[in-house]
Amino acid sequence: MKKEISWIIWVSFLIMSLIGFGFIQGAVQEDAAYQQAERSQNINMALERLISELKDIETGIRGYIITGNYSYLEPYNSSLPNINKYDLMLENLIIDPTQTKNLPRLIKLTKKRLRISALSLKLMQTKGKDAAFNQVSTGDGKLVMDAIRAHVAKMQSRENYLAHAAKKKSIDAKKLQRMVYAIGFVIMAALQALAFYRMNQEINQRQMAQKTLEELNESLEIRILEKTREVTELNETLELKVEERTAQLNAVNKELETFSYSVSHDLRSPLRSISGFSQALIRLKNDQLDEEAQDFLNRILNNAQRMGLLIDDLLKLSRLSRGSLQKEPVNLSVLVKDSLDELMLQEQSRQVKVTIEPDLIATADKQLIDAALQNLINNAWKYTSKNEIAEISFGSRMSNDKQAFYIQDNGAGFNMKYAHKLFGAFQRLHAMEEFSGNGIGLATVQRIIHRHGGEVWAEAEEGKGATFYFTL
Amino acid sequence: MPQTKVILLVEDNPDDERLTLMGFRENRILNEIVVARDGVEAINYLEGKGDYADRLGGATSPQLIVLDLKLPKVDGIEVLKHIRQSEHNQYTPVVILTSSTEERDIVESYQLGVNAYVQKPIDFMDFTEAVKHLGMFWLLLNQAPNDALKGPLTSA
Repeated sequence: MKKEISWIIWVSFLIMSLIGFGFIQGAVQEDAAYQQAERSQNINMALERLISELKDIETGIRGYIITGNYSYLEPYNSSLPNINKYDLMLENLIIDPTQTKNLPRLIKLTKKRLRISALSLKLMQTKGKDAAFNQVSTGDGKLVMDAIRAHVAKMQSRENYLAHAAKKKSIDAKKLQRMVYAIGFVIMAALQALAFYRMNQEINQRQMAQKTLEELNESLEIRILEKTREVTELNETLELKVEERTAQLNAVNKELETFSYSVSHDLRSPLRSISGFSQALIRLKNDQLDEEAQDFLNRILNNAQRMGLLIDDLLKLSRLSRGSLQKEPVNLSVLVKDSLDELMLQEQSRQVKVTIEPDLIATADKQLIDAALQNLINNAWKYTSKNEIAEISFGSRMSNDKQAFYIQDNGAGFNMKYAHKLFGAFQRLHAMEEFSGNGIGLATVQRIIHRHGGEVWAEAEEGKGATFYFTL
Repeated sequence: MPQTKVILLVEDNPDDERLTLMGFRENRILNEIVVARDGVEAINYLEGKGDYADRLGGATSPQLIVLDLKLPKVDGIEVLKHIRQSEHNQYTPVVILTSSTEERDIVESYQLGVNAYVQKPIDFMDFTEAVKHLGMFWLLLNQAPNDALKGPLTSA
C-alpha cells in the first residue's frame, strides 16, 4: 500500500517534470522562431537594399553614358560605399550554413557587377560615349545582374524557408506541449484518483483493524474479568476449605485434649488402687507375709510407680501440642550451660569434658526449647555414664543453608539402622538395665522442634557416640 | 473434745473411697464420714432430699466436703457451684481431691471458691500424708465462719 502510493507520487512528479520541461521547450522554440523571423526579415531587407543599390549604380552609369552629364553619376557615387555596408551586414546576420555558403557567391557577383560598372565608367571617360555604350550593349552587366537577382531570390527563398521552418517548429512544440499537458493532467488526475481511492481503502482497513483490535481488547478484558472472578471464587473456596480444615483440626485437637484428660484420670485410678492396696498390705498386713510375698509386692509397687511417671511424661508431651508459642531471642548456649552445670552438681563424681560454643542465639519459645535441650543433654549425660572421660559439646553448623545446632557426645551411640525409630514415643534402643528412661524424651524433643517449624535428626555410631542436630 | 461433725466424701471410685477412708483412719480422724457416690447424691445429702429426705436439710452442714471432679450424673464442678450458691453451705470448706492436674480444672475450681485443690498421689504413703494434712488443717486448725454463724442453731 505504502509502496503503491509512493509509486504514484513518483510518477506524478515525473509527469510534472515533463510538463515543466515541455513548457520551457515551447518557450525556447517560440523565442527561436521569433529570432529567426526577425533575422530573415533583416536579411531579406538587406538583400533587397543591395539589389536596389546595384540598380541605382546601374541607372547612374547609364544616365551618365547616355547624357554625358555628370550629375547622373550622383546615385553611383552615393550607392557605391553602401554596397560594402550591406555585404558586412549580411555577413553578420547570416548564421545558416547554406546561406553562409551562398553569401560568398553573392559578394563575388556583386563585385563582378561593380567591376563592369567601373569598366563602363572608365570607357566613358577614356574612349568616349560610344565605346562605353558598346560595352553596355554587350549585355554583360545585365547577365551578371540577372545572376545576382536569381541568387538573391534563391537566398530570400532560403531565408523565408528558415523563418517558416522555425515557426513551424515552434508551433509543433506548442502542439506537443498542449498534448503533454492534456495527457499529463489526465494521468495525474487518474493517479490522484487512484491515490485517493487507495488511501481511503487504507483508512478503511485501518479503521477495521482498529475496530477488530478494540473488540479483541474488549473480549480480553471480559476474559480477564472472568478469570479474576474464577480465581476469586477459587480463593473463596480455598478459604472455606481452610476454614473447614481448621475447624476439623480444632475438633481433633479438642478430642485429643479430652483424650489426654481422660488418660490422666482413668489410667491413674487403677494404678492408685494397685499401689495403694499393695502398700496397705505391706504396712498393715506385714506380719502375715513372708519375704517372697513382700518382694513380689515391692515389684508391683515399683512398676506402679514407674507407670505413674510414664503417664506424667505422656501428659506433658500431649500438653506440648497445645497453647501458643511465645517466641523471643533465646541464648541457647546459656541454657545448655545451666543444664550441664546442674547435672555436674548432682553427680560430682563424673568426669565430663564440656565444650560450648558461646552465644548461639535463636528465636524460640524459651520454656519449650529449654525442655528440648534438657532432654538432649540428659540423653548425652546418660549415654556417656559408662565412659571414663565423657565429652559433651554444643555448637552449630550450616546444613542446607540453615543454621543447625547440635549436641554431641562420645557415649554409647546407636546403630544408624534404627535411626528412624529414634523419635517415636516409648521407643528404646537400649535395654532398661543398661540405661534407664521411658523412651519419651526424644519424642518430646521432636514435638517441640516441629512446633517451631524446625527439623531434628541424629548421626551416630555404636560405641562411638551420637550427635543430635536441630534447626529452628 | 468438740462434737465431731460429718465429713462428706464425694467419690465414685470404690477403691479410692476405701483408700481415702484408710487414710483418715491412719491419721486418726474419727469424724463420721458420709460417702456420696455421685454429684446428685451429694446435692441430695446437702439439701436433705431424695434418700436423705429424713435428714433435716442444711440444719447440720458437714465440717468438710472432700470432692472428686469426675463424677457420674453431675460432675464435681457443678456440685461445687451448687455448694457455693446454697444458703447453708456457702462457707463450708471444700477440698477438691482429684487425679486431674489440668490447669483449667485447677483455675475453674479456685474461681468457684474451693478452699484447696489436691491431686491424688499414686503412692499410698503420699496419699495418707495428704489426707493427714487436710484433716489437720481443715478439721482442727481452720476457724470457719459457719461455726460462729451456726452456733445458736446447733445448740438449739
